[in-house]
Amino acid sequence: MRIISLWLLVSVLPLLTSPVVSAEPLRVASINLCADQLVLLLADDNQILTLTNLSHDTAGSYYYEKARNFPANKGYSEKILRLAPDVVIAGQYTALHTVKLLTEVGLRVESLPIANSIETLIDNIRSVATWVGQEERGQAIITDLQQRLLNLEPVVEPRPVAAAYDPNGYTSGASSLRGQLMEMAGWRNAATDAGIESYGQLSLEQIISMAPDALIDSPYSPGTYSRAQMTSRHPALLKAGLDPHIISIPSRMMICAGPWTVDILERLQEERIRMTTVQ
Amino acid sequence: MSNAPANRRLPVILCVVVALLFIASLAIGREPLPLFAALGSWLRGDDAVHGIILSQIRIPRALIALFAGASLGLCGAAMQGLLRNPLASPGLVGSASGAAFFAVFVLYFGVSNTMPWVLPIAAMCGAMLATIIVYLMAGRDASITTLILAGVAVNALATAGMSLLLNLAPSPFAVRELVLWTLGDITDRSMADFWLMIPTTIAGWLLLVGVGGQLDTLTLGERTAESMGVNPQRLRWRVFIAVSLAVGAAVATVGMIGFVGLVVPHLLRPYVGYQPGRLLMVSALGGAAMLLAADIGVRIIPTDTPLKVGVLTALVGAPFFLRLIVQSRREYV
Repeated sequence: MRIISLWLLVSVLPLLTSPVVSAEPLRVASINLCADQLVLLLADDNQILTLTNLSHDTAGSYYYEKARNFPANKGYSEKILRLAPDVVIAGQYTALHTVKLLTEVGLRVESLPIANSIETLIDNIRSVATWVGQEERGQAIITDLQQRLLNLEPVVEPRPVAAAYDPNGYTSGASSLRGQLMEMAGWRNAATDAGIESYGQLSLEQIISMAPDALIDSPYSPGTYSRAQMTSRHPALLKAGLDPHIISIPSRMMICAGPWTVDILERLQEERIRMTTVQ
Repeated sequence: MSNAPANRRLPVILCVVVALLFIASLAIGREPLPLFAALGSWLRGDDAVHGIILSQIRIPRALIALFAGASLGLCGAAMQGLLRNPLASPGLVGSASGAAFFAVFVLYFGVSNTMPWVLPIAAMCGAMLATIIVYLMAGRDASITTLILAGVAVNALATAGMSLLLNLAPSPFAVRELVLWTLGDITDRSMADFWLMIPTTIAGWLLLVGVGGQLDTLTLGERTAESMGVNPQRLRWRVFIAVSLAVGAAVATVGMIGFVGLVVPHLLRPYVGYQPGRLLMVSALGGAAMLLAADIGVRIIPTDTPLKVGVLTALVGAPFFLRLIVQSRREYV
């Protein structure tokens, strides 16, 4: 018994204390695009082992420039295993089999929930900061964001109407992040008027008869063709006078949430104030 | 000649049906539209909501259904007359899928951004190419089975090619639009789309003017027709080119809407005394009526995601097709 405890003292204790002593950085692998963004935001460069290949994409990744400094993975477990990260960050609903496999072989896998509100975004920043061992940096960012949220202008009635408008007329209602941003920025959401809770479709005819004051789009790959993308260029919309008030948010800001989400919020508020003072 | 009055009445009846369906197509939609108020607003040009919905969404949609349906019905009748084969139609002999393949290529790979007129021309070439391949593979006096088999092969090839193109297309939304091309869809087209399809459509129609008499003569057999002054070779090319023009334009705009060109000439044949020449015009009217009706159907049937118009034409057309096969087995075996 004594020998065992002695052995524990000699072999395990140094292991437990070594991160503190040698300040060996916690090394991270991300297999989810939105996790990539928060890792890039919070971790030190020497902590990042790999990010998803999507993180290099200009249309989908906010920190694509910085991400290109790091090797990409396609979410295959073999590559992740070979890198032997201290923590793997995955999306909540993506690559379930990979996550299961990585957990079974003994890696620490954390899953990041989808941020469908500002509150979840802040929770996510806090979680990732903890996972990568950068709590202080995370807290500083959160404090800054919360301050910016407090500085928002009050909502003035009557609120102008806006509709989020994606290819094929897809739109977001109140229980989505985009819906919440519109609400907080002082817009009335046309999707809510049409009875859409989270995601749904608005037909061209609905859009025209509701005549929203603005359309919010985030073109994912401008310049390419699909019938879906043509809906937002239909002459009926131009004729209805919706054309001048398209608020275009780059898709790399819309696909994943991050501190830039508050930039969107401020932009939407600015557009709303401009519109209500002009009229 | 005993049924002459009925013959003369048929085009009139069909015209009335098409006109009624056209008006219904303007009035019916997911959003209720007060037709007269909308018409007034449009004519006054005051850009009120109803006027815009009518002039920019519903009218192009109804016009496109009218012209595309007429093209499909007309071309079905022309091909059945030319090949003397009740199963010939743009959908079965590959014209439609060939057109769709080329249209997809031009649209999704950005060629038509700078030169929109390339679209109908490309679709016409695709239709032509597919038709000729099927025709060459099946041979001049092909049996029904050979023709259908050749058609199946070319259709499969064109659809696979289309799927490949849509997978490779730069737009992330392209992949999901295969169904839109294979089943056809008229939702949210604009007047620009309509004007783009019109020149080639009309060219195809005009090329078929006067073909009727020759098709009638052809029913007596190729030799006899030749002795009566019909040049079968020239007639064949004329019909193929006309069909490619009209079907190409229709498919490039609305996708491959099946069975219109097959069903309509069949339904109407008994009423025109089985004469291919007289079948042409009534088939055009019938095709327009069928497509307008199907397009009204997809707007009335309350599904969460709107149905594709080809779903309805296929639901009506496929059983019809099966009946034809049973019938033709009885006749030809």
